[in-house]
Amino acid sequence: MPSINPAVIQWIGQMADTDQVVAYYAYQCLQEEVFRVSRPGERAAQTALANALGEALVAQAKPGQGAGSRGAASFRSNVFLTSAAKERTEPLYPRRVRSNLARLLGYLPVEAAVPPLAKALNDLEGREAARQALECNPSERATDALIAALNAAGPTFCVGVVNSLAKRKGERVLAALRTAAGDPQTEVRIAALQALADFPEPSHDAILEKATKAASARERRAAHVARARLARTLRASGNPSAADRICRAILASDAPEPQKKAGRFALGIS
Amino acid sequence: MDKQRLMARRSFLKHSAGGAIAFEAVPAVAAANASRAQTRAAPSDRVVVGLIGVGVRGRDHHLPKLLANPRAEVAVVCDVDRNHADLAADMVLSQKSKKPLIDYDFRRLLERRDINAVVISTPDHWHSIIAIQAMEAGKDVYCEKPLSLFIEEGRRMVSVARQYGTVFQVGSQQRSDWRFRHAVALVRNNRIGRLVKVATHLGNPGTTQGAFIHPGEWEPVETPPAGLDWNIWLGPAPYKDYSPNRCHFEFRYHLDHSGGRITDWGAHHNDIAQWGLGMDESGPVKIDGKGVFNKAGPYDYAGFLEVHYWYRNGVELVCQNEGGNGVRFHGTDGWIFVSRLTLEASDPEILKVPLTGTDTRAYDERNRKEEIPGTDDHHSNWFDCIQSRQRCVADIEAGHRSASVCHLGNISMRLGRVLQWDPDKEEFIEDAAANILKGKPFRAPWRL
Repeated sequence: MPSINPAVIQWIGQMADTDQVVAYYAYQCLQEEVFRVSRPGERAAQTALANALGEALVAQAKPGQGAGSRGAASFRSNVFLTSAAKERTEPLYPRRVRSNLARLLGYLPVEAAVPPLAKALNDLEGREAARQALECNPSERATDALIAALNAAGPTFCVGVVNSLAKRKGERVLAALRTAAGDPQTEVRIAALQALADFPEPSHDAILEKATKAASARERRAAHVARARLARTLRASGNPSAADRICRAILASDAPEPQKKAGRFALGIS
Repeated sequence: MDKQRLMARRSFLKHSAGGAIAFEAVPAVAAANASRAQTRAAPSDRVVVGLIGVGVRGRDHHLPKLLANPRAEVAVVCDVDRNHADLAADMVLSQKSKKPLIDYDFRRLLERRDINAVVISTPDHWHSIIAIQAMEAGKDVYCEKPLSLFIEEGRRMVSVARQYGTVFQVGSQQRSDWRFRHAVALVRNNRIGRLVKVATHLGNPGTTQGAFIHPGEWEPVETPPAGLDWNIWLGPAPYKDYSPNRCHFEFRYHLDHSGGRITDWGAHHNDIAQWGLGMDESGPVKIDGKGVFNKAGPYDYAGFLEVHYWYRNGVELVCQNEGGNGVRFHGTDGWIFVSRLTLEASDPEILKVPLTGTDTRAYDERNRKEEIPGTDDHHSNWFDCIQSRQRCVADIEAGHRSASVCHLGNISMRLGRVLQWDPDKEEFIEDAAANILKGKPFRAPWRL
């Protein structure tokens, strides 16, 4: 494994500096280094750098000794903390540094970037940045991590995971999104409907058509728009007959006028 | 429009049952030929517009143009900053004696059935989401340049526009400036011989350091001002704490919200270059960008840049800060330089010989209505096309391709290497890291 630029560790530490200029400069240097090793044929160097960044991303400190902490003494004297809480480790670096590390990892298209990012999905402060970075990673392990994250708490975060999965491929992804289309949270269901429309699968129209009869007006509208999207996806993937079927179904439904107009346009009906 | 005459006309219509019919019976052509300062467009010609994003660009450029155009009715102004929205509403009130509706959420505006069309004048990172939702709501769209913040979203926007038959004008208003249009026509008709090279000049920053605005001058983070919804202003962009030098006009200098100088001016001039090259549906195949980034911040754009592009037909495009502000076409038999102030050629005779009937025009203007004094031709072209359903002079595909040229330059500069690009598949050849930068994850819950 090639060695990394020795300045990398120093820059990572400097990102935690309270001086904005120092922290920003360190981030720019790291980004430049990431882009430098990201050139084709440098997989080993990319992996080495991803390992270093990933290690920092998930690094833990003793209680009260993290970079964003107020200090061990004040931690130990905090009467509101239980004994168990006082034993729990905390992230070595503050949230903004962890977000920057995740972002940098997102620029490295190697599998080594995935394990620390997957672990960071459990970090409430840093999980959104980790999710975005995994979205950029092309490996199957990143897909696995995103699918597993669908079980996380918080509808907004889950919506983000659904949106990331919409850019992946494979039957496991489709299965996860179909399950999400039945999620108890409305926002997640709507996101899943939109995501299903991005895959050239004619069978998804049945799911979308059912959603056009949902109790929520917003969900019904989203489903109608998604049906039109699915028609577009199918047409672009070389399945015009399936696209036309959906367009005709849209015309026969109570879809909003813009979706009907798009259907007429596609079918060549004035 | 004469306000008193407008008020008198409205009063007449209100009190006369036959007034509306008589008014609508006036042919559009006759109306256009009447005294324009006193003519209101026929109802069938009128476009009810919602203006989304009424900051500097929205209030200084779009709103005056729309208010001066008798075919436009500004019904709603929308901004996440209540101060901006109020200022815009007051502008409309002062000229039309009627305050438009104010909204702070574009989604509500798009639900309105009375809105035919929207003008999007938000920071770049919002263009795609708003434009796509507007098209899916059945609205025609005028969207500021650059069309997109990254390549993948531009392609999605084109797909949606084609599906919905949207009349989409990108704010590359130089295409409606006779100087640029004539220059492109001359180039396309070989008046300078075979085109060899195009140079786009984005404005001379003086020294390298002078290319940067307030280098190292950080402002502390603070609570967003009252009336500004900072979370929505950020939208799909990564979360950052508020500081004045990240917001509103300053968005131009942060790559999370814009492409920096190359998309600010480059989107205009590279668009003209693409137009002259006949590349409105294609792009370069090789890019070599050199940019200087100020590591002291707070802005992360390339202030000093030089990007070389090569096209399949052998023509080279060079985009750089130096050499003024404009576009220079170099041919085997001469050159043409065009800017917003001038049109020059190596031989002035090139500019004097008129185009013939068989010469290629830069744009088919057969549906163009007569210019309405005081209005912007670019907005008028959009209104013409809303009526004729013809594609605008700065159609979305062209806007996507010119924005892509700028994004390709940025990616090459950031990665610090030469890149090979396939303009048909719209992907980098054998460079996974570069292909990552074609897209950008959106902050939840936003998506394309």
